[in-house]
Amino acid sequence: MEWAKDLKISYVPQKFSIDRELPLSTEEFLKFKKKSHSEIIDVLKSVGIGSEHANDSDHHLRHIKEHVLSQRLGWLSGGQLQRVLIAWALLDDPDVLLFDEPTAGIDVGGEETIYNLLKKLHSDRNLTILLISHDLNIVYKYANNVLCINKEMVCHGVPSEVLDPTSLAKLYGGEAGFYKHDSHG
Amino acid sequence: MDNSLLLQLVTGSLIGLGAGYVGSFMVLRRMSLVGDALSHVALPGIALSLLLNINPFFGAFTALFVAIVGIWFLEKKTELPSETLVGIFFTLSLAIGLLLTPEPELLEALFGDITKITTLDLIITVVLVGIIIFVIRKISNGLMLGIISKELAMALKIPIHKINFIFLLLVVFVVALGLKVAGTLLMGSLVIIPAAAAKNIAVNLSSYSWWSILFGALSAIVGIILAQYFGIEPGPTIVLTAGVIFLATLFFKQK
Repeated sequence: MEWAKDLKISYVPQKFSIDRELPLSTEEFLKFKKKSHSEIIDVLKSVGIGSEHANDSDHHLRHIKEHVLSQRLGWLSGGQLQRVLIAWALLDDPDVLLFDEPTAGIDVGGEETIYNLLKKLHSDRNLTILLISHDLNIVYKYANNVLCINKEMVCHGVPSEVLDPTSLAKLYGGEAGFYKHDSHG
Repeated sequence: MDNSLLLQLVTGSLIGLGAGYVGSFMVLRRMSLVGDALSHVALPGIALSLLLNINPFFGAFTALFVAIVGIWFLEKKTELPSETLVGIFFTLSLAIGLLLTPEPELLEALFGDITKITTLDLIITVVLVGIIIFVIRKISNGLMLGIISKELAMALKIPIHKINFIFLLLVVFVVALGLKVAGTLLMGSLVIIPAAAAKNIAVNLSSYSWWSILFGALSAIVGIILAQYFGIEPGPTIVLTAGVIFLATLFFKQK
């Protein structure tokens, strides 16, 4: 397998903790990418920030400005921060998004919507999404292809076909079941 | 207003604003006490300059520069943590400095005395503060990204190690300048307090830097005027003014 030529890969890091005291606004953070204000607004809309106000565009814009852009980055909730980090990656207009455990530290409800968002980005923007995850439910539900690794490659293919009991045992250390105690006379 | 007071106010406020600017990033990088420890390293340099009868700035700068390169080198060779090395360098230098500094000048070296500055000091200050502002504006995005997440900065191909070294040099510049104002014992406060006060009230990076610069300059101006008025040492009054500003900002703390 090879990457296509001139492919742009953007990386979304595992959610990191940001000091609540850090004096940096979300807008300043996104401006590090040297993009215009309107590009930033667009990308925040596309990751679903303030989507509950999407039917009223003035209100939506004001919500993004007041509750996200002008706030300290460290004041955002876990879910908001994760969306901002995805927006950060999308600003480069990539062909491939690389995620490392995108929902670490987010509650289950938030987790669901993040994956729905990724699915939407995949179809809307024709993005290839490379995701590192320990969560098999997610892999079953969303992935077209899976590559399972436990020190070496264990299996590769469509999740429903290749994730059989043998490879799962190899992946999650099932061989522990075969451990035999030494018998001491 | 006599010339000497004007000279003090101009030089003092420039050093205050430079210290506020560099300090704003030192506080975010949790390097607050590095400035304090480094400033002690300058004492033997000041002592040698006094003995050789040259401007103490050059001796202090040389001593500081040798110290950071030495720490950087030993850190690589011995794998001792840098706080241990800074601790060793700092006490040894202070000991050597105390022995070398002629007694009449010792108090000035320890606590600074901006009433003794010359036009040459003003020129050095203008040049260095200009360099500090120019360079920080160049590297501030990289510095800030390195503070938020090394991973993110590396993904954007930001040369973190280079930026860190450049920043350390700026710290040396500002510490060497600040010795005139607050001396080796109080210099650390000039970089820490204005930045800590600004952090209390700022929501974003640009207002944070501006407040820190303003508080640094304001502390110097008010401190110098108070010292002149009451006929006391300006070093401590500048530091105390900064302290009062810090206490005041606690009432407006952003949560």
